[in-house]
Amino acid sequence: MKIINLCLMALTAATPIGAVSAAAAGEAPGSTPTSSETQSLPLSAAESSRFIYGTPGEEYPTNGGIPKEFWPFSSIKPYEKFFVTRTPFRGPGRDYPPPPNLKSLRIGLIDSPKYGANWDRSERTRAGIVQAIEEANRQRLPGELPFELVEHEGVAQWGGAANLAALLADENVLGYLGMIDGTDAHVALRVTLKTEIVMVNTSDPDPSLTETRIPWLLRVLPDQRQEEAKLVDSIVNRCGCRRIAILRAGDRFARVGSHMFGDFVRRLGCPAVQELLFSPGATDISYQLAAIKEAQPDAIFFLGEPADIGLFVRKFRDAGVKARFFGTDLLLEDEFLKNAGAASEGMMFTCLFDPATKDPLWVDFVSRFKTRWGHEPDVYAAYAYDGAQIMLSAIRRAGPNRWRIRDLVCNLDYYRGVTGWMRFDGTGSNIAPVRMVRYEQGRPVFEAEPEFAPPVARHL
Amino acid sequence: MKTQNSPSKRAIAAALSLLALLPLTRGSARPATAGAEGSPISTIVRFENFGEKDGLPSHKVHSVLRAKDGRLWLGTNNGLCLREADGRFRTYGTKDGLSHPTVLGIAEDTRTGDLWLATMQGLTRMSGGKLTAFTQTNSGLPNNVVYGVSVIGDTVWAATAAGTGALDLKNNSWKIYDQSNSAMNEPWCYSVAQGDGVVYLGVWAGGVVEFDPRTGLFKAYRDPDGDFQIQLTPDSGPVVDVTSGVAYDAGILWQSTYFGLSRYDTSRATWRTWVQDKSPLLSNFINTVFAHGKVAWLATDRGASVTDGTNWVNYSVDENGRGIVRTYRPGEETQVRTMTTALADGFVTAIWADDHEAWIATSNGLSHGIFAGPSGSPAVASNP
Amino acid sequence: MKLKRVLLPASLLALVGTGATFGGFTGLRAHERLRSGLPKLALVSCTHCHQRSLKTLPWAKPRRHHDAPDGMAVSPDGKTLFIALNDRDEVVEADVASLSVKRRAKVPGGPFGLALDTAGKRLFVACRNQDTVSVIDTAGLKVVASISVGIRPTDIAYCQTPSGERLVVPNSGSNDISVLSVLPLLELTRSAAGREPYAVSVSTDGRRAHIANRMAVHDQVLSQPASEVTVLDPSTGHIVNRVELPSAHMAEGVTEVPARGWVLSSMIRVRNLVPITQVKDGWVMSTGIAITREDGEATQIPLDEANAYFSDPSGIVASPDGKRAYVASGGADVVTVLDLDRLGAWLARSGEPERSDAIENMALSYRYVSARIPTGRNPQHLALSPDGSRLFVSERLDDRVLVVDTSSLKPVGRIVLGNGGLDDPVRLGERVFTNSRYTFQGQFSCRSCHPDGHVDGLSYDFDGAGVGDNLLANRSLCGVAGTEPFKWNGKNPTLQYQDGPRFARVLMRTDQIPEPQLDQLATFITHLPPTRTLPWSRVGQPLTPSEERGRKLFFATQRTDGTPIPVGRQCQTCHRPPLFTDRLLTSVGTRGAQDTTDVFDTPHLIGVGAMAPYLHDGRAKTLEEIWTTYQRDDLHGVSSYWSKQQLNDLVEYLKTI
Repeated sequence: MKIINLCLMALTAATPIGAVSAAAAGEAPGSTPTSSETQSLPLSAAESSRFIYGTPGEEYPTNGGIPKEFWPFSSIKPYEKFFVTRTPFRGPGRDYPPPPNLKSLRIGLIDSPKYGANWDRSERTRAGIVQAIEEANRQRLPGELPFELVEHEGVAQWGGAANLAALLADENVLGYLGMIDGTDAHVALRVTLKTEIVMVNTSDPDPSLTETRIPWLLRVLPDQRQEEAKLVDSIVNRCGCRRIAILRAGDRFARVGSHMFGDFVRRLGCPAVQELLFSPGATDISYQLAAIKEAQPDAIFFLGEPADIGLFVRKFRDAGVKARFFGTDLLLEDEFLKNAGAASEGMMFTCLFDPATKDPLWVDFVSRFKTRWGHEPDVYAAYAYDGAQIMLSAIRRAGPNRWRIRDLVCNLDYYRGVTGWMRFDGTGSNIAPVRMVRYEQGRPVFEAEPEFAPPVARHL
Repeated sequence: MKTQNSPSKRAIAAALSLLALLPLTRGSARPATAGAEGSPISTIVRFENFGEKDGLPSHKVHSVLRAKDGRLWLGTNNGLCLREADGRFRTYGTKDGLSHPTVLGIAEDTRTGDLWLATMQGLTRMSGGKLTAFTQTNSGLPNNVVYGVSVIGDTVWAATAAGTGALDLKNNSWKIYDQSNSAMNEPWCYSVAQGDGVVYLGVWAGGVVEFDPRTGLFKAYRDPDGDFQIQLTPDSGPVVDVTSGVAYDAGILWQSTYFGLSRYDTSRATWRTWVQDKSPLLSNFINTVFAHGKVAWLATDRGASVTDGTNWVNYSVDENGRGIVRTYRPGEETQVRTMTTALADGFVTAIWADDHEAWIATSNGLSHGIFAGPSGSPAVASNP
Repeated sequence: MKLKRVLLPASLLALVGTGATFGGFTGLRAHERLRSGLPKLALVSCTHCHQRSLKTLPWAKPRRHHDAPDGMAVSPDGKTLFIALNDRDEVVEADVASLSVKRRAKVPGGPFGLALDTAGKRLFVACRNQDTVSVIDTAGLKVVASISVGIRPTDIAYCQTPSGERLVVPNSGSNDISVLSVLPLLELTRSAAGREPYAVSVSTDGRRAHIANRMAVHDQVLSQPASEVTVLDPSTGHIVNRVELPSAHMAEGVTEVPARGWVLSSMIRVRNLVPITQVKDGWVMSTGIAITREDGEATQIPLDEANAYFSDPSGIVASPDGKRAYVASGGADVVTVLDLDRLGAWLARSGEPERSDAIENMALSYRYVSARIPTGRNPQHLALSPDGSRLFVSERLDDRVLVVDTSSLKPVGRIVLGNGGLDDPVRLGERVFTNSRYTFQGQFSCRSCHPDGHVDGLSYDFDGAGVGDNLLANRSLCGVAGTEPFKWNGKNPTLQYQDGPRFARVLMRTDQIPEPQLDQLATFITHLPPTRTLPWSRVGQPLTPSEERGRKLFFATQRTDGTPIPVGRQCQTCHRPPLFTDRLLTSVGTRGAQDTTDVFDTPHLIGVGAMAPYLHDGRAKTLEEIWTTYQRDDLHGVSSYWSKQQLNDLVEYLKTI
């Protein structure tokens, strides 16, 4: 175990600032808020404009907030619709006393295993979290306990994330952050239901992660359905492509993503003409290339690691494939351009937020991040920072009580972070819209989109 | 020895006790034990509650089992707990050999008398008072987070975060079933139940997988619409693929989920499903299901629900801490009554029941449900 | 010119010869280094690896069989003694009065443990070699029924319970206990025991069965080991208690003591964490008896006296009146007689501290030992006539049964079963192996740590400096022929060297075993076959799918994704078939804090499934732990790519070797 103690001041006794309001707790009808939930302390002025909580019985958009044309069985009224309201946690705990002899407020982090592309992303994620914790500790008021990051390197094999999630519970964390790998996030999430420790996921966009109805999860990274709906809309509706091929990696992330993409294009009347797999790190894709050429697609959707996609894009162009190329937000990473070279021209892909925005929150964050780490934050660092801020704020306001922290985390409707406004649906997934990007002369050009914001009436 | 409710709750309970036998709302008057009439569902008339003050090592009880020898075992957040013959609780912890304090499941090998314990860090066998840990590093267990355990014949089945492990007790060999060699599409398993010659695996995001050890063949029961967002049509298959528990008895397979309840009649190969807003189901959020005969006991986040698929009896706790029992019968109006006592907590995590009593584990203590006797009087509690 | 004509070809020939020799030498060395994965390997002979066959090993060849008596049972009238001859596949019926053999019956499967029903009409036989229980009709002395149980059943007990007749069978190879009904003959339960359940005794009322487990196990390598007395309800088959006996191992006998509520089990008090140098002070091994009361409290008492040891206690019986117990010491050729009244009196007046320290008090045994009866070679099993008047002692290596008059404690005579096999060098070697006369004060024999030639599951502190934590795991002698060099540091080229002068100085603390006996001992050891780890029904059968997958993993030359596995890290390189060892020193990343080297002798794997704990210091309690807890940087084979299924498959395969 690596414990990074980010304490900057002397340790003193804990003084929880307050408890979450019943409205903030966002209990659905039928739940019975405890007396502690009825106490309310106002948010600080700075925070109040950034946190908007749900109200009991509030209805939420379903299907990741994507247009109905992408929904399954969209023309049929289903017998039952889930996630219209948010699943409350009805168990006890909100009035439990704080753990004795508390010396710090512990937040867990499960990193990725120390190899592969996810390790680099995990490092960037970690940087965003550490930045947030360091800043929070610097801003501590007298009497407040310091935050402490309890960090474990991931174990990819044998469901290791579940063991780590259980270990973090033994280490008395109040909540935890992570993870990138979808399988890890899933197995750790299942543990949260038993250990009752809230998880803020900052890096796994898989819709099924939040569709489990475990009321101990908030995901700040935009939902993958937003990405893929945007992509498919661009491919079919905007670019007019009809013959769409898929080339994807064989891992879980790509399997889930391509399954969803295949559904979406099918629902628009353009079922994929070809779907082929490749092994991560493969260099010989002659079989896939020949098969896809044979299918004569006018669009190809690539899903996998940016380094692989960059190589394949170049090979496809070299082989004379004229189809339009599409991909996901990972293609912003340097490895793609490095391998794709000029073949990147015109490649379209999604971006979760606009890093070129002049939003002062973002600009200021970038500046502070560069000062601390010597480079600009990427999408993982930015969302990790936002996720950590939500967790830190909840712990500060709820005190060292996991159930009240959960209420504050899981009942968020909107949050304004450095990445812009987030919108959380009935599953706790960020369904804020994403935007498209294309490479022009080796540079990403972000398409202009109206800034997403909550309805004015709800914006305080 | 019993946990006392708060003074206010006690006063309310006492005041209401005189009214307990009177129906409060809707429907014709029936005796308090009427739930037992005309349906196979036994009715609880009283709860005895036990908490930390009574010697439980934790307020949170994850699992409960009454062994064949009559001893009551509890899996808590802070150890394995035995209710002794004199009613006192004895706790076994990690210092005694338990692999982790959090005991999520308990199964009995009725042939040897051994208990198998599903914990957050491995499987533990209790045999002759001795605890022995089986972990993913010292044995063939797939993963240390064991959610459910069952002993079927000579095999211990452990539902873990990375597949279901099957320990052949005679050969001391392990097999792992996951997405690579079975009908699971994900390896995350939650519970195991014994069917008639088959084994049912409750798979998180994989519905229910049936395994026939004689043929080695698997069969998956999956949500027919394949979507988490909706249930397209009722009674057509598992309500959803995210399974929280499976239980089987008398030819009926029950699947609990956080989205509702499913029932599979194996002799007729027919499904029925229930969701909370369209049925008497107390809550869609069902932590687990226990089957006894043709009756299912549901541990929900709003109380305990008992059903044979036609009749329902729901036990919940109202905002004043009073026990509420709602009885549903086809063609009759719902009966709602208060009870003199209430469940220890509405967040129910596990249940064990037979024809004589029910033991209900909650997030805030343990409840002993005492059934109505044949004459309508409460049965005598008989925990040795 | 002539000289030139001769010199030129000669020079050329010499040049070519030298070149060939040098080239051959270089090529050979390159070949060996490549194939061994050891870049600095010095030249070894071709036969180090090649031309090795199991068939040529001594243990694989036909051997002599002997009439060694094992388990015994006395008829209810005390007139007939039944004797199991494991090595002959026979059961003998002997007349007690005439001390003569009446009949011999062929009982396949290696009969080892015997029990009679109440009427003496059915004899139940635990057949160790083929994992069966057979029922013999004593009238016809014929096998009338048979059933499979766990691996290597070593004893059997009969009792009547409220649920009917029951048989309780400890299965020493599968570490479990079978409970059988008699009519019909069915296995009702098979419960987990301790390690190597070896002997069983049932109470006269059939309410309890006590099973002595021969091996001690430890939680961690540096923790005190303990063996177990397993208590079982024969009626239900349920385990009702597991009584822990700290630092006790080699418990080969157990008996109920009528009217006292005691269960006695023989044991060796082992202090494996004490530096082996302490043998001279008597601190490593002593013998004793564990007294387990009904409430589960156990007291260990010494059998030895100061400076006089009675090694390898094995069979134990108590008289029907509960006043005496008899214990056979196989290494000392003695039966010790315990006065249980005196023992009871001492227990009654002793406080808890006195009782818990009793086993260390070598001046205690005089209080309850009333006699020592000399016997023939290697007494192991005991039986007592129902009236307690006759004690029967199996003198295994003399092929005889000693009959003792318990009133006078004098021998009545012997039932002669065979000639003792004096013309068989293997048998002579076994006499050396089992006798403690070659160790300081007779404290222990080879068998004390190598029961049946196998392991005792412990690690011993061989640290000459006496620091106390440089443990070395015991290694099996079964199947060891042809795997030289020996010892974890690979320094001993032969068994004679291994067990010679240095061994005498370091371990035995006495003069070395004389040369002729040393040769006999080596002969015996090389004839020890590998330990069977599979059920008999599986022997010779095809591998299961899981085992087959494990076999492929063992012999894999590349990972699942096609990446080559370096030769030096393939399982098969160091654990080269057919012996599954390359007989070289290799580093697998297991050097401990007190080790002086990275490299250790590669152990052979034949019977590895029963050799726990693993690695040179025994730190890995299970095979799995080798690659989970104690694997480092893929040094002990490349395992980082394995799924858990693959590890399980490999373990299943290893258990078949």
